[in-house]
Amino acid sequence: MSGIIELAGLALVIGGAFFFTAGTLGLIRFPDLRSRLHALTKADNLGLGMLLAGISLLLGSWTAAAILGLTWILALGAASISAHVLSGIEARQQGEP
Amino acid sequence: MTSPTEPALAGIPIADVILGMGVLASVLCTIAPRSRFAQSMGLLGLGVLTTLVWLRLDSVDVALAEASIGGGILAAILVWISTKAPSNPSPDAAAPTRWTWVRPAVGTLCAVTLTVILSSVWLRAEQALPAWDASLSRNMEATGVEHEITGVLLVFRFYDTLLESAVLMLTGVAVLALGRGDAGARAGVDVSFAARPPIPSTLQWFIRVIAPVLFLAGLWLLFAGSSDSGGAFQSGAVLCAVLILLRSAHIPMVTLTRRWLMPLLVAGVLAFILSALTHLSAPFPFPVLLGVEVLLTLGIAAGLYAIYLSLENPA
Amino acid sequence: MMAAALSAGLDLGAFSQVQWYLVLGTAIAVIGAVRMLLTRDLVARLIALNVTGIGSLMIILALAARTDQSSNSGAQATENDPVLSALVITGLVITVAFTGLGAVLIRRIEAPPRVEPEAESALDSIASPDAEEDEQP
Repeated sequence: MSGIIELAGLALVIGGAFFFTAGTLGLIRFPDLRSRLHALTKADNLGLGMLLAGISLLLGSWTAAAILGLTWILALGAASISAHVLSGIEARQQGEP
Repeated sequence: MTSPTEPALAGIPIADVILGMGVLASVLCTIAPRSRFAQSMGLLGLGVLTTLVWLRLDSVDVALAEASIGGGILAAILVWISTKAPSNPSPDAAAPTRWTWVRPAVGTLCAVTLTVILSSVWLRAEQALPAWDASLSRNMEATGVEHEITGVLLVFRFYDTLLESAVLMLTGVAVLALGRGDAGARAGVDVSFAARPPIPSTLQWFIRVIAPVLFLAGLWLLFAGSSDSGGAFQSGAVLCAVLILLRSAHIPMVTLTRRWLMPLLVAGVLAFILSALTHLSAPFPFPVLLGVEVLLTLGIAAGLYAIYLSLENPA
Repeated sequence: MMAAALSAGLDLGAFSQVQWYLVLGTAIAVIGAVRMLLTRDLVARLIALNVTGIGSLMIILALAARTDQSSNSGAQATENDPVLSALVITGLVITVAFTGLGAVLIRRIEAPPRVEPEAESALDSIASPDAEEDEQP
């Protein structure tokens, strides 16, 4: 049983790292602010969630899982609110020259 | 810590080799660019990797301090300086020099001197164990706290902590004095009430929701410092971050900034000096220690927040 | 002294984590210090001073970790050296303090000179904290 949990944890960590890399690649390569914000908020936060889930599986404690889950929710909120504010500022800058 | 089963390259774990290469790369990304913005962002990336280095060296306290102070508050300072002062008025290439060999020669000489001095320090210190180990563990029960770093900071070397808090207090005083505005005692903070650009309501809602969570986290860091990783400085940085977030949300903090900022700035240092003068023989009793630590934390938060406020101020 | 120490280190044939971070910290501190001495841009100097600080703190914390390894082998690993860790935390706080002060000073140094108000109105406004003149930042 513990072998399956460890394997699942490792798979989640590797998947999370892959999504983070994809998000960073999008941040570098996308041409526009809006698409870069897409990469930052969607790919990076999914990668973060998978990474934290894998870590809590590998640690094997419910307390750690709860704290890491709270961290993920706060990071989600921060990323989405920052993206909202940034795109609002850009829309205002482009709407009014 | 390195376990014997970790993969290693000539005795150094592979994780440390990769991390070290990453740190060197981020140092070059910080030093090399000409644009101030790129340098600031490089320093922030270097701070994140440095936090990982502190964790590899098994020090959670230092990693917490680097993440909160070096990553959080320094980020606020660097973002302000790189957006408000984006251009370099005196670039390196524009300076005419009579002898072009002077700068590389000076650079090489300084590099060699520094390398010799630093290496001789740690080559000597590396083989010898510290002399304070045994007496430290012997005297820890008399301090009233269980975490060794907090005991060192607040009891054994409290003179260092006092001077460090005094440095932060003097920095707060200096930046408030540098603020432009009308002459007077409150010139530094008054300009912070000037008009600011509008923000979306979601930002205000979100900050009102998470500010208590962060406040709780900051308080927990303060009180956990007695038995686990944490302490006054990490807690003060998180509390300052809460203040910065509240300010970004345009939540009115007139009373806080006008009446409480300056008294809080000096209260920690004064309380520390007073309790040191009245307890000349022994370490402080636990209530006094706790009171001094709380006031120190508030002073650190006030000092860092004063730095943030004054960055918006000068024109 | 140094030659003997170097040959003693090379005789082992292998380095340790502590030594790796000591060398890395020295390299970072030297790079930062040389950059700070040679550049003319004030913000670049401030950032290079920060990098130097990080390098020197890495040296101190690597020395703090050395007690771990010398008493490790089979016995319970002891904590890091708390005195050096406290020094590193102190160093971090002072780094952010002088960086903040330096940033404010840089903004004042590089700011365009403003027109000073008249001397009499300046003296008047000392008496009352809120004056009529509204300085736009």
